[in-house]
Parts: sequence; C-alpha cells; structure tokens
Amino acid sequence: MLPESHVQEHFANMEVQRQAARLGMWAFLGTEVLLFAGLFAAYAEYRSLFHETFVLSSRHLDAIMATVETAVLITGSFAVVMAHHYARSSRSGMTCLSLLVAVGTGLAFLALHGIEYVHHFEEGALPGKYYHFPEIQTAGASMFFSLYFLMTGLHSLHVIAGAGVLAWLAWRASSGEFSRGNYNAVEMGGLYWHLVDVIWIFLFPLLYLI
Amino acid sequence: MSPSALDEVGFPEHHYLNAGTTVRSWLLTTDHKRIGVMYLVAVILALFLGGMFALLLRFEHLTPGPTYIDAVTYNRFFTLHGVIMVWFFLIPAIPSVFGNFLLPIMIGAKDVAFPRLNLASVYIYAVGAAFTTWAMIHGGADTGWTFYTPYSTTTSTVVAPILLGIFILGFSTIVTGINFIVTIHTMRGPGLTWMRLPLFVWAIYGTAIIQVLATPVLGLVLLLVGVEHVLGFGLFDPARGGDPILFQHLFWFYSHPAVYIMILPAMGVISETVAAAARKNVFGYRAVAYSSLGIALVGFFTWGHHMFVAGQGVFDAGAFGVLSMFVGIFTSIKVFTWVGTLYRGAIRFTTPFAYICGFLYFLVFGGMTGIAVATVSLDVHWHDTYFVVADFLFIMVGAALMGFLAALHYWFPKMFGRMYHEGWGLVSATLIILGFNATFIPQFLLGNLGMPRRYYDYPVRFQSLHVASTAGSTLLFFGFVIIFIYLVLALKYGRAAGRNPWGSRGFEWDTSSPPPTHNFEQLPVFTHGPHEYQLAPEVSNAA
Amino acid sequence: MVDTAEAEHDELSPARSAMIYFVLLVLTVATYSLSRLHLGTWTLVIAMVIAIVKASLVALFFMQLWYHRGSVRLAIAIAVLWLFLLMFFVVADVKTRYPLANPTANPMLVGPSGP
Repeated sequence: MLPESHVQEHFANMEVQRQAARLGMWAFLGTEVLLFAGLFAAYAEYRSLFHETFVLSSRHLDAIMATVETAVLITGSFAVVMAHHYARSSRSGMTCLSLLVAVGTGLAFLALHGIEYVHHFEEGALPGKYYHFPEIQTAGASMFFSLYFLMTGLHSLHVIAGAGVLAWLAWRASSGEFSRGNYNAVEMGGLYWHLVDVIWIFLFPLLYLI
Repeated sequence: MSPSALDEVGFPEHHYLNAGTTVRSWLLTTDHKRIGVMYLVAVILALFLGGMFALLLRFEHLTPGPTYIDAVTYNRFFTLHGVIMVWFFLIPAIPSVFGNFLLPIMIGAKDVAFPRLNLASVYIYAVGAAFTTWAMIHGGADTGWTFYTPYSTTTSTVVAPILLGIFILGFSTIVTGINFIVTIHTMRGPGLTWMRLPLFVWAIYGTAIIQVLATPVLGLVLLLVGVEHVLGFGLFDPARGGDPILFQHLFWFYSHPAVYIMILPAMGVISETVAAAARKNVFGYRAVAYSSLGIALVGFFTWGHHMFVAGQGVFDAGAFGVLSMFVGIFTSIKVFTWVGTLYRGAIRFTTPFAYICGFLYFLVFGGMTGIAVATVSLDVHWHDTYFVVADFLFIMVGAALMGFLAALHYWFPKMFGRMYHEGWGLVSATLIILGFNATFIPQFLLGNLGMPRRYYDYPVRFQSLHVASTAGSTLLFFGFVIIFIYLVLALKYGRAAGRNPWGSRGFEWDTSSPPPTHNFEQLPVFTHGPHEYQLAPEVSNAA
Repeated sequence: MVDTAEAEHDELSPARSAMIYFVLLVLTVATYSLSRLHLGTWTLVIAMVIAIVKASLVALFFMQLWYHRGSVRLAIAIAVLWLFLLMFFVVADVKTRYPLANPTANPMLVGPSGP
C-alpha cells in the first residue's frame, strides 16, 4: 500500500498532514489543560483558605494506593511510546499488544480508584451536602472532598475516554492498518494518553501528599 | 497571483452551490464554503430570535411597572436574549460564516485542515441550539446570561438544559478554533509568508487563539454550576465554605476574552473593506497584524473589571483596572491605521463603506466608555446600570454587528455571485445607524442617572428616555427587515456580479464568484503582499 | 519516498524511553517517601518540583516535544502559562480581600454540613 494513498486530498503531502494532525492534537491538549485549570484554581483558593482542614483530609486519603496508581499510569505511557515505535516499524502484532497493555493499565487505574471511592462512600467522606464523615468536622472538609471527587472524577472520565481511543487503535492495529507510512493515529492517540498521565502527575501530590 | 481565466462579468457555469443539489450533499458536505453558508442561515435565525427577545424587553419598558408581561417573564426574556445573542449569534457570526468561507481561499488552500471536524462543528452547534430551545420552550432560566451563583445554583427555573446547551456549543467553538489555527500554520500557499497574510486572516487567527484558550474554562464553570445545582456539591455555596466570587473569576476568565472573539473578526472585516473602499495600500500593515495578536493575548489579563464591586481583593482590582486600560491601546492602533488608510484614498461610498463609517464611530465612542468603566471609582457608580448595558451594546451591536453587516454586503457577491440593490443597501444602513443611536444613547443617559439593568420596574422620571430607546429599537428592526428582504431577493434576481465587482486586491477576488468547489481553477502562487493597490516606489520608479 | 524530514536519530528510541520510564518510577517513589517526612509546606513545594520534572520528561520525550518544531511547543507553553494566570489572580484575590468577604469569615459556616 503506497504511503501517498493515506494523504487526504486537501493536503499537499503526508508531511503536511502529519504536522497538521500534530498541531491540531496539541491545540486540543491545550484545551484540556485549560479545562482542568478552573479546578486547580478552585483548589488553590480553598486550600489557602482552609489549610489545616485540607491537610487533615488529605492525610486521610490512601497515599500508597495513589502512588501505585501513578506508577500504573506511567507504565501505560511507556506502553504507548512502545506502541508508537512498533507502528513506525510496521510491526502490527506488537503495536496491538502494546496498546492493549496501555488499555489494561487504564482499567487497573480505574479499578484502584474505584476501591478508593467505595471506601470514601462507606465512611461518609463525600462532597458537599452528602458529607458526613465524623472524624473530620471542621469547616472546609466537605470542600476538600468536593474538590477531590470533582478533580479525580473528571480525570477518570478522561482515562475512560483515553482507554477507549487506545482500544479502538488496538483493533485497527490488529488488522495491520499501521505502518511506516501511516502511523499518525497511533501517535495522536498516544499524545492524549500522555496528557491524562501528566494531569495525574499533578493531582497526585496536590490531593494525596499535602 | 494571476486572475482565473473565467469571464470578468457573467456567472460561472459550475460552482460550489450547484455542485450537487441534493439535501444529502449539503448535510454531509465537507466543503468549507457550504459549511459557511449553513452557519449563515443558523446565525441569522439566532439574530432574529435574540432580536425578538430584545424587542419584547423594550416594549415592556414603554411604561414603568407591568406593561404586558410580569417580572419573572421579563427576567426570562433578558436571560434568553443574552444567551442567544452571545453564544448563538455573536461568537460564531463572523468566524464560522466568513472565516469558514474565506480562510482557505485567502491562503490558497483547497479546504481547512480538518474538513470533517468542520462539518461536525455545525452539528454540535445544532445540538447545543436544540437543548437551549428546549429550555426556552419550558420557560427558560431567569438568572441572566451570566448565571451568577448562588442564584443560578438555587433557582427553580430551567437552568440545567441551558447550561448543557451552551456547554455543547462550546465544543463547536473549540473545534472551529483548532481548525483555523492549524490551517493557517500548515496550509498557506507557496509564497504566502506570515507577513503577506490578509488582515482578515490575522484577525481570525487571533480569534481562534482566544477560542481555544478561553472556552474550556467556560465549559468547566458551567459544569460546576450544573453539578452544584443538581447534586449540591457546594463549591460556590457560602454555607459550606464556598466562594461565589470564585464563580465570577472562572466565568469572566472566559467571558471577557469572549467579547474579543466577537469584535476581533469584525475588526478584520473592517481592515479588508477599508482597503477595498479606499483602494489604497493598508497604512501600517504590521501594526494591524500584531495588534490582533495583542488583543487576543492581553484580552485575557483584564477579566476582573467585571468584578470591581463584587468584593474581590484590592490587588486584583488595581491590576485589572490598569490592564483593562492597556488593552485599549491595540484597538487605538487599529483605528489609527484604518483612518490612515482612508486618508487620501479613492473612496467610493458604497453600502460596505456606510457600515465602515458606522463601525468606526461606534467602536471609538463605545470603546471610550469602556476605558471609562475600567476606572474603578467610576465603575462604582455605573456598575449594573444601563450605562454598562449601553457600553457593551455599542461595541456588540454598534461595532461587531456593523462588522457582520459590512462583511455580508462586501462578500455577498463573492459567496453568491450576485449584487444586491445598492440604493436599498444605503437606505437600510442609514436606518440602522440612526436607529442604533436612538436606541442606545438614551441608555447611556439612563444609566448615568441611575437606572439599574435587569430591572423590570423603574421610576416614572425615566420613562421618556425608555420610550426614546424603544422607538430607536423599532427603527433598527425595520432596517434589518429591509436588509433581509433585498438580500433574499438578490439571491435569485440580483444582477450577476462578475468575479470582482469592487475592484478589490484581496486574494479571494482572484477566483470566480461564486468559487468552484475546489476554490481555484489552479492553485495560486503568491508573489506580492495583501491589499496591494500601489506598487512600492522602487518598483514603479523602475517601470 | 516518505518521512524524509524525520531521520531515525530524531525520534525517541526504545532504549531511551525505557530509561525515562525507570526514572519516572523512581521519582514517583521519591515523591511518596518525601511526604512521609512531614516537612510542612516544603513537602508540597518539593513534591511539585518533582511533579514538574516528571511532567517535563513525559512531555519532552514521551510526547516528543524535544524533537518537534516550535509552534507545537508554543501552543502548550501558552496553555500552561494561562493556567498559572488564572490561579495567580484567584489566589491574589483571596489574599488581598477585605477579610470579612472571605468564605472563612462567614457566620453561617458551622462545620462542613452547614445549616
């Protein structure tokens, strides 16, 4: 299959198409950064207002679990880098496998996170008006957990979306679609996954390690 | 760039409008020109709907106290007026219609970078509009288009569907912005350097940057309001330690740059039409180009001027006041360059030129009141009065809408290959400019006298100014109706415009009117700068 | 002929990515261990520095920013700067507000559940 046949009609050549896809995806990643920006700003404000309560509440979260979750996501990023490498080397089987490993890390992350959430539900450490955790009853505690659930919740939605994209790419890879001349999609999907990882890299210390 | 081999006058046989006439060929099109036309239909509908709500409000204000509706209905009307005008008309009007239609042609490309995403943006707009319409039919919210907490999180009116509609619409904006940025960066034709880009392209580029940076923050804050309204998370609820001012920070971080999304493309239109009207090289091309970027970026540093009396900290109040003045510098640069271009130009007074005149007057006058309200001490008096209403409407209606009308009249022959009736064009432009003054100058006076905005009732001493404003709005309405009529008639009965009825040196006029589906008979090569009516002295001396 | 613009040495090699993966894991463990030392405010400062290093490694190498042209780097740099812009003015507001206007001063604020 000639590489040129993958070039869309309105682009001069594959190089232009690749640059366009790359810039477009990075611009989209920029919008994702700004989506989370509002939550980081809210966190900064309320942390500065309710510092002691935030520290107390954060100590109550499971930092070891979160460290494992961080390692899991980073592993997923590595798997995606390998998938990109294999796609460029036209090795469909390994591309598909790497992508599936990344999907697996995403699912593992969500499972671990789910365990955390269940634990919080049981104790009553819930957002806003649902908060009834007896151990921490100072002002700002429900705010911490509102932010916790909002930030990790929004992030988890992105993990689900990213895993979905990677799974779809894995399916395409299994039919031998990607090669030296046609691997844009794997690169772009990979970029999205890395961003999901980067956001967590910041959420981790801010929420769990105050 | 050499003109195409087609007739100078007369209608091309094959063009983008008759290349496929089935409904399916329109609904599934990836042709940026057809997408621009579909957006044109959409924004005209939005303009009509938003304008209708405005008229309903103005008629209520003919008398103090109840005139024909009650207070809650009044609140719902001004909310819907704001939501529809801001998000469904002003934000997409010039970029999604004229940006889509002209950008690839102006840079010598066959289409935008992501044509299928472009089509998706139309459908996303439609879904957002559907949710908002649904909310409207079910009574609509009464929070104002600004959705301030804690009222928006506790009101029993239909807030969630409107929030959802706007949230979805935001994706349409973001997709358009990404598309334009990538197109301009990667698809410029051979010879088209950044410093040869038409000024409309610079304006669209700046606009796209704002769209991409600002809209996600709006998405988040609307999501937070919805979550708090429905689930009670308490992020903005003082009883749980929440801060309503945080909402305002997040909201205005988007909504102030949003007004630059509305005005910057209009400024790009004026740059194009001023050069064409004066038939003279643009005075200070680089200044105009860089000032577009300046507005796009510095516009983000000013949002707190909406919160001077909300209770924000003194550092913010001071900083935002100064930065808000600073951003005015870029607009001034543009105004000076436009005037410099017109000076000693060979001006023909056509309908687009009438709108240029209106635009310049409204932008300068309205812009100066903007600088005035940026002064914290003065804003204490004017905040939440009709003074602010008149200030932003001078810019949004007076300038941005004039820009839209100028674009519509200037590029109508390019898009549809026909000319409208010039006499009626000038008549309606006059009606609109006069009507506009009659509507909004009384509002400055009202506001300064203390008439609050969003108030259903008022003391009887304000009545004559309100009546004057309503009379002006009726004049405006007739102006728009006349425009609509002659433009629709021109689609079928207008005389063939020929390739370039204005004698403009804009790059888009080198291809036929209407253009073929792939924009050009052969892809252009760019050998000179944009808006070039006179040769550089070295060249003409050598000749 | 394709990809003439991208020579092999301009892309991330598997060996280098494995090394960076390992460094990221080490830094993750370091962040956690550091937090157990309870250094007060410094915990967060150092943790954020480590986070910035990790994010930079991912962005520059895994996401290939190190190897790619300027417009892409500029795009993400501006997005990150804008994030700081928003955070800065929000925090500056809260720090310089008339104290009774802050949420902490709200007399209705009795514990987390409110009235």
